[in-house]
Parts: sequence; structure tokens; C-alpha cells
Amino acid sequence: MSERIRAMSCDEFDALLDLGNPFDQSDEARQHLQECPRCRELAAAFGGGRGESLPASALAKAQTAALRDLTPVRPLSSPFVAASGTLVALACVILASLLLYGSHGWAARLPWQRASSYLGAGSVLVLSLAAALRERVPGSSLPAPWRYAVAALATLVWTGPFMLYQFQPETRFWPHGAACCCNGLLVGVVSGMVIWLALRRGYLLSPLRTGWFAGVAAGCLAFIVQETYCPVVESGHSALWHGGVVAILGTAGLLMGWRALRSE
Amino acid sequence: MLMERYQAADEIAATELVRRVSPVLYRSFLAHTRSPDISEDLLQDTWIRVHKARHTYRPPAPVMPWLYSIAEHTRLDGYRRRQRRQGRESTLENAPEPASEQTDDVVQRLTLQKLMQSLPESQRQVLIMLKVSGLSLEEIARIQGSTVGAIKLRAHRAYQTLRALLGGERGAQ
Repeated sequence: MSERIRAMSCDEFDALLDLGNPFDQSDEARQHLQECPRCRELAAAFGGGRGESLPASALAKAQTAALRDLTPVRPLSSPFVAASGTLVALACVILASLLLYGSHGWAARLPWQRASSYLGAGSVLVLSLAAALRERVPGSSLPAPWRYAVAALATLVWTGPFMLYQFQPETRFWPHGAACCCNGLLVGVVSGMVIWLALRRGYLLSPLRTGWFAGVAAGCLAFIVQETYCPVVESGHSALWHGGVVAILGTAGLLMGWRALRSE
Repeated sequence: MLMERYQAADEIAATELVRRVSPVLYRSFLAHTRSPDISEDLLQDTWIRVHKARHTYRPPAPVMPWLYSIAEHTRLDGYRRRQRRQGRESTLENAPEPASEQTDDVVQRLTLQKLMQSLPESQRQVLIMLKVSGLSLEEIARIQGSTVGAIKLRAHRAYQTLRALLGGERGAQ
């Protein structure tokens, strides 16, 4: 019985290249290499890619660097422990804030408005906190699509009040708003300090990104507190003075990350 | 296992870890910089940082993505530092002269290095990790903070470009 080897395309051959040296692969791959000069040259070029040897001086330098002041270290806490501890501490911040400022905003809002604002801000808080905590360990960053999702949702928290509440001109827009924003910032700064405690033992390869995630998480927590205590149910007030806290703290986190990067 | 013992200050394990991983890192640095001196400095800097960050490794996670992330940041920091110091100079000007006695393997390596210079940075990074350092697609995705699909796409685009370049070179000869 004659066996005919199925012809392989260059795209299929590329898939083999991802896995290793195609010279060691199937009959189809070998036949494709005989027939396709470009793939043959490509595979030959990759075949010699791993030949460089490490000079003895470089190895000696590397060993000196790795062995200097060698003392036992305590590994970082697991992501679950770090996240649970941080969430418990942040829950305490929320409780303390509500005891201090009250919860008049709860009754002033309709159930669907409460559900939407808490769900939106809560999901951004959890996602950005998870992203910040993952940055503690090199090579564990949240994949790029998730990072973009956090950024998109954070923008939604800022602009969400326009969809949730009606616009009604407020007589004491600036003085009342500024006081509300200051309270939010205070809660946000305390939350930021709690998050910093969780991050401080990590090795941050991207302080800029970590700072932004931490700032947004702190801002979202402040937003939740403001939405609970503030009795003003108006889109302009919520967007500027509540959502603005998320933007301010996100920017502050970014700047702190930038400063950490510069001081390295 | 070696990394856990390194965290516990086991000198033998640390020496063995450096001996096993350093060649991979050195080849990767060399593929990017094409300078043995710079690659040697980058390797040393990487191990200084690894030493400083060794408590952040969490067993049983794979060691290479963790270590390679630190190496990649060291390389980028080094590149920025050199750029600041020297201004915008072409890396080709700094490239060492190829050895006069060239075996087939050396010729292949030089061809690959030369061709890789014409790839976009993101594709070159992926290709060096995949073909020079021998990392898997999953490991590269972790290091780059990306998905396996996105890494595969970048690698395949790089293959296509290289194939076209190889065809062009052959046509010119």
C-alpha cells in the first residue's frame, strides 16, 4: 500500500516552529522543508540560535551578584491571603467612614441606582486591587486585555452618574461639592495607605502601572463611601465630586509610581 | 526547588541556579544588544535584582517567567540608560565585528541576528524568547503580561517577515 504524505502549508509549519526545532518533527514537516526553500532557510537560521556560550568571567560576576550577603528570606504571602487581608482592612475603612459621616445617601437613592453604582465601583475596586496585588510578583501582571478592561470600567465609574441621576442645578454646588470631595479624598488616602501596606514587600517592575491601579482602587472605595453618605442625588455633583475622586486618586497613584521610578 | 533553596540561603543551590540560568539570559541579552560586554553587565545587574527580589518568588510557580521578567526590565532599563548617555546611536555601529573563522553554526547565528534587527521590537522580543532562550509560549505570555494567542500571532508575523527577508536576500545574491 503506497502512503502519500500530506502536503504541509507554511502556516502549519509555523505552528511547529513555535514548539521547537522542526527538523525533529513529522514526515510532513521534513517533506515541507525539502520543498520550501524559505522555510528551510528559516529553520536553519533558528537551528543556530542557541549556540552562544557564556564566558567564565560573566558567570563569575553573576555568581558574586547572586551570593552577596546571602541570608534566608520569608517568601511573599499568597495572593489569596494578601487580597483577603487587604479587603478586610478596606471593609474596616468603609465602616469607620460611615460611622463618621453617616449613611443618608442610602435612603436618598432608588434601589436600582444603588445597585448600579455599587456594582460598577465595586467591580472596578476588586479588579484594580487584584491587578495591583499581582504586580507585587514579577511575571504575574494581569494580561493586557484585563488591564484595558479595568481602565474602561474606571472611566465608566467616572461618567456613570450621568446615566444614573438626573441633572438638577444645585444652589450650593461648589461649597457642598468641595466639602464632599474633601471627605472622599480623606477616605481615599486612608485606603491608599492600606493598599500600600499590602504592596510594600513586593518587587514592582512597573511602579507606574501599580500606582495607577492602587489609586483607582482607593478612589473606588471612596466613591462607594460617598455614594452611601451623600444625600445629594444629582448627576453633576456625583460625576464631579464623587467620580472626580477616582480620577484624582488614580492620577496621584500614577504620579507616585513615576516618582518611585525616577528615584530608582 | 533550587529557587526555594536559594530563598533559604543555600549557597550551593544558588550557585547551581546561576550556572543553569545564566547562559539562557546571556544569549537573550546578546541577541538584543549584540555586544558581549553590555550583555555581561546586564547579566550581573539581573542577578543583583534577582537577589533583591528573591522573596517575591512563590513556589511552585515556574521560575523562568519570574526570573525572565526581571531580566527583561533590567535590559530595558539598561537600554534607556545607554540611550540617555550616548544619545541616539544605531546599535549596528556598536556591533562587534564578526569572527574571521566562521563555522556553519556561527554563520546561521549571525544571519538570524542580522535578520532580527529588521523586526519590530515586540516581534523581536517574542522571537528571542522563543528561539534563543527556548521559553514556551505560555511562559512568554506570562512574562509579557499577554495572552498565548497574542504571542503566537506576534511570532507568526515575525516568521512571515523573516521568510520574506530570506527570500529577498536570496534574490539579491
